[in-house]
Amino acid sequence: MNRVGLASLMSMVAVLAGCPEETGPNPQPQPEPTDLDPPPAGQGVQIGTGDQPVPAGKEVQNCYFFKVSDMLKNAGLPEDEPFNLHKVEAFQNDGSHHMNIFRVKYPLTPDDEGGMDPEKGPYLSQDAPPEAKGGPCFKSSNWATWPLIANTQIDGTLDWEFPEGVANKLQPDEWIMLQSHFVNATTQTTPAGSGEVFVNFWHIPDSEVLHEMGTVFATKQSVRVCQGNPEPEFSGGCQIQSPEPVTVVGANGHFHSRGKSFEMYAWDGISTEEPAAGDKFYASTDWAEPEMARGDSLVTIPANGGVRYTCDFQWSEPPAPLSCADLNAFDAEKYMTSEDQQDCCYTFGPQVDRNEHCNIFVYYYPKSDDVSCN
Amino acid sequence: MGGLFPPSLGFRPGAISLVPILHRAALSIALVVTACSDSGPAGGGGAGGSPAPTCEYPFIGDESAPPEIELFVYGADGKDHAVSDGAVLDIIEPPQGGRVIFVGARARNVPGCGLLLTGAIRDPGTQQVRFDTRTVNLTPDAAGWGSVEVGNLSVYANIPVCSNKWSEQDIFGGDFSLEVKLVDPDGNKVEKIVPISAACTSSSQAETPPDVTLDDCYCLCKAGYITGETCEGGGNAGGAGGGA
Repeated sequence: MNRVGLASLMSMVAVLAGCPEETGPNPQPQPEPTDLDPPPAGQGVQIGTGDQPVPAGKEVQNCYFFKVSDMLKNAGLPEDEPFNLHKVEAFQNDGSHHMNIFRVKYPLTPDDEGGMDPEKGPYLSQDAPPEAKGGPCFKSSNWATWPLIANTQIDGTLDWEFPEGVANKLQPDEWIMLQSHFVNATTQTTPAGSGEVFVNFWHIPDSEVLHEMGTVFATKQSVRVCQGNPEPEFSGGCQIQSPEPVTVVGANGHFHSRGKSFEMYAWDGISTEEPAAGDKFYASTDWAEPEMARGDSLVTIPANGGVRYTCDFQWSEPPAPLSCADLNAFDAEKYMTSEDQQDCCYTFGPQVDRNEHCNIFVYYYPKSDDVSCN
Repeated sequence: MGGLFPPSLGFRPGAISLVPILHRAALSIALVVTACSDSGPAGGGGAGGSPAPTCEYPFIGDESAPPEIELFVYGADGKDHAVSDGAVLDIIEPPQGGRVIFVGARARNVPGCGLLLTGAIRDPGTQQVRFDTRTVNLTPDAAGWGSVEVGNLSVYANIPVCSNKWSEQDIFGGDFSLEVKLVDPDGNKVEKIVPISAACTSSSQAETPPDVTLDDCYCLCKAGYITGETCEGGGNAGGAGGGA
């Protein structure tokens, strides 16, 4: 049965059952087939989420945990040796806002204190009580410092083979976390009413690994896009403590619908001047389909230098049914902003209709163990 | 070939094919038959139709005179304090965790709208710097100067100083320079550089208990701090990310 036929059947069943035919954006679940076959035995592993219900008017962010030794076992690889990740493929149905995969970094906030314990996962929005605001997977402090492995945005597909000899080494005793964010609201919809993620990790033998990949994930958490300062720009930096230059092989930026321009530059870790145009290695003006820059060498960053990034925004009225009162209420609750300073501001946060982001994802080699961002 | 899905969701390792997906679709059909949803669409609309307001502050001061700038810092006492040579700046926990110093600016002989405020703390030994840049407007005052909105920390430079993975000194008690500049839309710049020190405080906007806030500050801001290191107070470093 093809997708058209399936949709027709579902529509017919709904009518027969006496249900009103919905005319909204998300009337029926219509799961999509995937062409993403798992890697052959000995070459990799497929991980995924299963179905994630995303009701109309909602957005969900779910966190799934996988132990690397289990991935090795399922890939038919030795369970006591690293997984040398050299290629990532991903497939998601429409509605994905982002999918990030992180290494779990210890220490963790305990599960019973609002944190996430890999052995007790997954953590799903649907399981969270209302007062938990989507649950611990929505709480950025639970994972903001976890090292990035891979990411996608609204275009949920990815097929990226790293440059020759470059691999992200995942140790058998590590856990990784797949975070999936689907939106079925105003600025973005999930037509099927449910989301699903499939990811293939491809492995190369140790003998083929020449450089270990490192990553940078930064979130500018003090962004604030307000009615009275409607075209703000924010810049921050990340330093990679490395005695030798590093080569950037992938980059993308992430913000929401008020985002107008996203840029990244090579930075020396010392200057606060506006960077030179020649240092720019990433630019995007499309919040919904941001540039996913990849290449053998997007830019070379000097020793102990890093990345400077800039986000430009344009304030707009909140999308219906939200109002400025909703944004102000969030601002007061989350940031303790006094009433006289509430100004219909979009503040840092994951919910696309009421929050903004200014996040960077950068992939480089050789890896440094000492990266810090602001 | 291997597949790995959360066991709690009922998946088993193995190849993913269209067949189980259609089975799940069939289950969805069954649910539609037995229960009509009363949840409507998410709501139409979009990003509203009225134009965004713009800043209308006038030029502040004398357009022919050189620009001037003065600095102030938001203190743990909730008040602003002028910054002079050797000033000790309070280190405060912002809502997102980590530690910042909030620095505001007032200026004259500058435009009132659309300036870029950059605040930075530099380690004079290594020259390494931590900075924040953001767009601000300056509200004119009766004295002929314009200031960022006093008390509104979103228009102060939120200079992230801890966790300390960047300086070879402790941030608290160390010798640093504060560098603040305003750049107008035409690229004209006014800057001030001041030698300063910094002090840990128990001030938190993240609702951390005061004693924990203070203990964590000494931990997060010490030289040689390692990400993920457990601090005495048990707090989370939070902060803006990193990598490996």
